[in-house]
Amino acid sequence: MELRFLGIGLFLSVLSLPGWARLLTVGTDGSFATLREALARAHPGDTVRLQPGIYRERELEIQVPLLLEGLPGAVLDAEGTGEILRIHASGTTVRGLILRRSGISFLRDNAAIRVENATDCRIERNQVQECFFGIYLANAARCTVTSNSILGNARREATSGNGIHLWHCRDILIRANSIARHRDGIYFEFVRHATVDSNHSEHNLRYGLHFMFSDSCLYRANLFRHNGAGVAVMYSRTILMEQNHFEHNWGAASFGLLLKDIARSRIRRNVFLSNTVALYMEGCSATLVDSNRFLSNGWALRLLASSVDNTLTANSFVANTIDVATNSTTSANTFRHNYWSRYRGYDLDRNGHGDVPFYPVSAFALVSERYPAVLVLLRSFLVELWDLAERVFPVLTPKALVDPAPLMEPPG
Amino acid sequence: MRGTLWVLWEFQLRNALRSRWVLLYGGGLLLLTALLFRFGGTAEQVVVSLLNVVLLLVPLVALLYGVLGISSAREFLELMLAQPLQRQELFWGTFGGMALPLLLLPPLSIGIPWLVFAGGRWELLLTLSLGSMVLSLIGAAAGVAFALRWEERLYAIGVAFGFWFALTILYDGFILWAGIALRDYPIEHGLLLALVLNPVDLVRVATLLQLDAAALLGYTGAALERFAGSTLGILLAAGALALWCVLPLWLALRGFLRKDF
Repeated sequence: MELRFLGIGLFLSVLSLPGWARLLTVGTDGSFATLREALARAHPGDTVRLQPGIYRERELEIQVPLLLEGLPGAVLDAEGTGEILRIHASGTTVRGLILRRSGISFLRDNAAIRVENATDCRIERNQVQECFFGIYLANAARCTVTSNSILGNARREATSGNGIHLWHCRDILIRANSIARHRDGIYFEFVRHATVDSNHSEHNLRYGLHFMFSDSCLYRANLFRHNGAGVAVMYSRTILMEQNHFEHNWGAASFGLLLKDIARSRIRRNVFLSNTVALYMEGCSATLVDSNRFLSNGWALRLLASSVDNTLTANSFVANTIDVATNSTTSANTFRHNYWSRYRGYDLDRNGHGDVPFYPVSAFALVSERYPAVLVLLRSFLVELWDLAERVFPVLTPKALVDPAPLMEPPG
Repeated sequence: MRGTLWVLWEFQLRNALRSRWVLLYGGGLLLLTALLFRFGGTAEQVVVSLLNVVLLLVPLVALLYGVLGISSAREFLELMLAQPLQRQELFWGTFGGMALPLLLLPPLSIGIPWLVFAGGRWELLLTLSLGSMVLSLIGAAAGVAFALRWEERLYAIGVAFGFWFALTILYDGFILWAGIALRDYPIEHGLLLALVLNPVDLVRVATLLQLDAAALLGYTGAALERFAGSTLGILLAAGALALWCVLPLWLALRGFLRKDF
């Protein structure tokens, strides 16, 4: 008797084991006509496969861990209202889908794919087109978002959302995605230990990357280009940004990289090319900025007086209109062994370091920081004459902000 | 009628082409541009380096050329005035022949190396060429007016230097002072107007706008960009430049017509 019960019990539990995963196909010659039905019938560990075709569905929920994959040409279209796919089950994978037109809303952040209160999810190789928000992770952990292409059609900030949006997450990997034409390309708030690697974020209305209150994150080898205001990084500690490219963020309020209240972080081996302001530091402390290249920017570095104990070393500053601007005549930051294309000193002992100190803040940079209206005199003869005179007889130039031993050749 | 004008032009042109100054001026600019391209690199960088040369050198050369041209052509003018010629015709003939090489030299000396080395960014060349031509015209006409007004050659040269100094340096010093002293007031539009009223600043800002540098100019730059794109802005700038071309010319012509040689 007892044995028979045991047998039935065993049989039933084996049925629900992942090893018995089924394949559910959705499509005209599949077993389900709509994805909604398939998701309702799915058991944990099943694979739901979407055949090519356009599925006009929205507000889909994944409640059990499964693999949802789209064959090439499988499109989920929300037709401009509501959200498309919500994942509540840990361990879900979504890949190969084309998701279109989640609805613009002033009340809800309608995303193409939302992961909420779940862990260990994978969002891979999807195409998100003309959605309000793209991929939205809220209260998620140990998830990966890789190789997705997210293309919006943002026109105004108020009616557009973010490409990849993370809120209150831990241990997330975001790799090799390309995001364009959203409000912010990648947005982080309250995220810990995330890695953002090899993504392209360009032509976004506001920021290519925007994060706040997100400590201990790593940003490596990303490209941020042609974004309305560049990249803004605020209120975070122990972050590492390396080998990223910040390019062509050009406009009256654009920054290559804006750092506000950043502490104990490292910015290394990045390239800043043609930005209005390449690196802006406000309220930063104990941060090491090294081995970066600043090329052809308006301002290479704007260092506000509220930044202290930062070190800038082995950077190269080449052909920038203004190398360093500051609003203070004193400086609590260290400049050492940088390369400045403006430097005219000599190196008698041939140790690679110039024998004459370099003062990177010109008189005009200092005055125009305090009285922005005089910037209209940029490149006028008067200003060039003045800067020349300052170089020979410094009167206004801050003495404390000095590179005592600048490099003679660009590093690397 | 037309024959006389042509004869005068041709005579002045021959004179100018024989002059070592013209050769030095044109050749110097050409050499400088070529060297900048050779060692400087991109068209943008060359324009930045050339900008102050054009803004300073071109009006100065034109002014001195105007003053010296008239005072050294004195005997010739007196001889011509004895002929049955209209004064107006004589003025246009003399001035035209004098100003033409001056107007054409900077665009040519910059344009030829540009053609060889840059092969692009033509709008920058156009801005720089038009700017230098306008500055040449203003300088030459003002120089002639000064030379006709003040008989003493040294005095006229002194006035020309003063005029040049005021346009290129004093004026910007005034803007600098205004930007600092009136910082608490919304002076952006006032500064814009001030920039438009000085041809040297106008050419500089027009070139900077071409170089994408408007974003660097802060609030005034933003206002400037909107202003430069607007019909009103273009009309105002063109009007100011036209006025700057016409006014010294008119003064020179009036001086010439009224002068008792």
